[in-house]
Amino acid sequence: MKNKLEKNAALLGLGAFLLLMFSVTITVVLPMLQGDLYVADAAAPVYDDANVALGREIYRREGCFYCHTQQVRTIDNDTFWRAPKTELKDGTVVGDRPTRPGDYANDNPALLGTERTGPDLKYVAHRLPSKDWHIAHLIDPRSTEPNSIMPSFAHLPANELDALADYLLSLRDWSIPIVTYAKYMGPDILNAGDEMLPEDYQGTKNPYKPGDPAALARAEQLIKDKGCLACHGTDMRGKNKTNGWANPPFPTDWYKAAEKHSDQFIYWIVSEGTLKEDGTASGMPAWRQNGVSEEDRWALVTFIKNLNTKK
Amino acid sequence: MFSNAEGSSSRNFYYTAVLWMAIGMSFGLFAALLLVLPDLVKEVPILEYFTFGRVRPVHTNLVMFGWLSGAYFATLFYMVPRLAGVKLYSERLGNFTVLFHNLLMTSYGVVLLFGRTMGREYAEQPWINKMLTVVMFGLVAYNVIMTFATRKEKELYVTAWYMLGAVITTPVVYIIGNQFLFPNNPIAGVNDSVANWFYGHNILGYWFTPVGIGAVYYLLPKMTGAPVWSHRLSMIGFWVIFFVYGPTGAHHLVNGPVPYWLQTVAIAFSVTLIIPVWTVLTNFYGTLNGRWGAVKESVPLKFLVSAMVFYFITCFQGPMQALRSVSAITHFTNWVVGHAHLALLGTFSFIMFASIYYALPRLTGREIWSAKLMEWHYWLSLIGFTLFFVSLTIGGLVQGSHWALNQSSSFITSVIQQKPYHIARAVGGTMILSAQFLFIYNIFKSAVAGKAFETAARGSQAETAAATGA
Repeated sequence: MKNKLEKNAALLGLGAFLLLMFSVTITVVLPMLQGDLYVADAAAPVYDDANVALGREIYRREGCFYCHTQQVRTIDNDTFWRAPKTELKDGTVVGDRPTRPGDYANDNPALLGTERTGPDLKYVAHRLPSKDWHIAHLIDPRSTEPNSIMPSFAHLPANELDALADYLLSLRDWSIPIVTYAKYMGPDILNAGDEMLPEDYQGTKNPYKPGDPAALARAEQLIKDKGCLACHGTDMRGKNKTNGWANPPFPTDWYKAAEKHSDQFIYWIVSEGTLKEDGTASGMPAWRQNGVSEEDRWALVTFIKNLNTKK
Repeated sequence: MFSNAEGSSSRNFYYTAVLWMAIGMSFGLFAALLLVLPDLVKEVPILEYFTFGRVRPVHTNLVMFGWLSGAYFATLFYMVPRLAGVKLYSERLGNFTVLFHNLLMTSYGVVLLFGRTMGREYAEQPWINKMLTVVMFGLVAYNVIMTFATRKEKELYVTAWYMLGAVITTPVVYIIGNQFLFPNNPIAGVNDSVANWFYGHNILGYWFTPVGIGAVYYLLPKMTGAPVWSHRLSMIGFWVIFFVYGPTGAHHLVNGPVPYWLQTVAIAFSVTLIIPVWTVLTNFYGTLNGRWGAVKESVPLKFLVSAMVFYFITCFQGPMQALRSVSAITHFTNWVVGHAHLALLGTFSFIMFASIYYALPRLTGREIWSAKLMEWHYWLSLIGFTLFFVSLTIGGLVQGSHWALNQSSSFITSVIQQKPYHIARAVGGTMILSAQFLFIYNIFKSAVAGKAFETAARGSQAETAAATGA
């Protein structure tokens, strides 16, 4: 085959160039013209908090995005990574959906990620809203998850760990309102009594009899699924520095809690967590907002109180 | 200051490229070890900063731009003058480019180790380094284009097509995909990812693929003494590659938060990529058919044959894993890591090994020092890489199936399950890296103690024209 192109280098180069321009037009230029698609969604995080913005810089600098995605795909396989389904006061339902372009409107660079060596983090703040947990996890990932293969970030200065944890807590669906009945008591929790109970939790009653075997079995399953023992220790005695908890205040010893606290008190703590007033800062997550039903929370209370009989 | 001796820039590029390969691959092995032993660098002074997230981009950048691109520049400077029937337009400029490349790669590595990253995969470099990268590609393109412009051989052999197409389009892909080199990232949100993957996939489509395939079309007739089986088919392959590669980038975002139509376009074009690949493979098989005995004798040919087998697998995987249903399982898993290495290591690096073994004696006038080390290099690379690839592929399927089975709850189980595959991958990686050290030692010894290479066999232009059938 002899044709012009075999002799004319300029024509050949031009042809290759024009073909590339065709691709640029349809796959780079056209998507950018769909401006309305990229308007910020109410769910999209904003980074006007300086500490959060710094945290995002550190997340990028340390290359976290090589192992953690921030996208929930439109397939069933990713259901677990969705934000919790939440009904707002006006009846609209938010959360529980794959991510959309509007969720990333404020992101630059977009940190969608390509590998899930570690879990997806798009809505991590709903699953793990505790700053203490995140800092402990960053300092020593094996302290909260023994099988984690994440590197330790103990070498980062305290302010950077704080910023990184704040950034992780900003990774949530912002159309879901933050409601908390929690009070942050830190390590003093074991000295607190029923006088701390918020109004909604006064006079609540455990539907299970002490030691109800069905409740205990249910609770055991929940403890496994929700990873409670990652913080409270496989012996349920709470973790502290000596057994690998990297960040005070230390998670509560369940045996002591069983001895010290009433059913209502434990029910309140399990339901609302020990977060600070704004619901985003420190302590244990509110399991009420993390897919643990009322019955299941009472089952957990029954389980913890039952420890009193064991010793 | 810069030498103007014929072939010196090509030789120097080959020499420095293999050093970048040793550095880049060492970082790769380091990253692989960090996945097996996550506390390896914990509390080790200074080293503790080099966690997986910092080491990985150093590995990818240095093997892609330091090693593979360096070897590609050398290959261009070796093959283009022979195809054009003249000397390289400017050896002096070529040698300047060698120095430029080496300084830039040093900067690449240092910048990333210090955590100065743009946060985009394969486009991590800060904007100044990106500018300099475009300058580097520009210098090479200028030299190549000017060599063709002053050529004596009027007919353009298909290798020339591929190489000319590549040097013209690559800077364009790089500039567009890297946010037009602006420091302030004008494109934000998901379109940032769209632009990122336009670049991330097309640096493969418009740079690594055409130069690599072009080199195969040059080397195969040279090594077997037979003309390419079908000249027409090779040209069809050229046009299809330059047409269908471009829009495929969004297949990295399938099922993700980008417009559905864009995913569909990317998937459709990805599937058609089977066509150019099969033109190459058909031609390869057709040329080698009846001459398979030659493979037994020649390590470079062994590398080429293995590269083509891996090319077949990677380019069958690619279109298939772009499909929504397949991507649902394989995306985000180790499968993809295996796939990426299959293309860049198993295929294009293997082609470059063959090129180096073929070109270096002709550039330096010295035989490769040890045939035995060549064999070791081949077998250790092949076995190591096969172990590496198979473990990541199976590991990826285990990961993806686990997530599909329980909709990603109990995620940590999928991390625990990866352990044996991560270990096997690190073992395979160790074998690959050891093979490369043998290779580098062999090249070093060839340079200082290689026997004289018979001048009769040194690729004269007439011989080139005869063997390539042009």
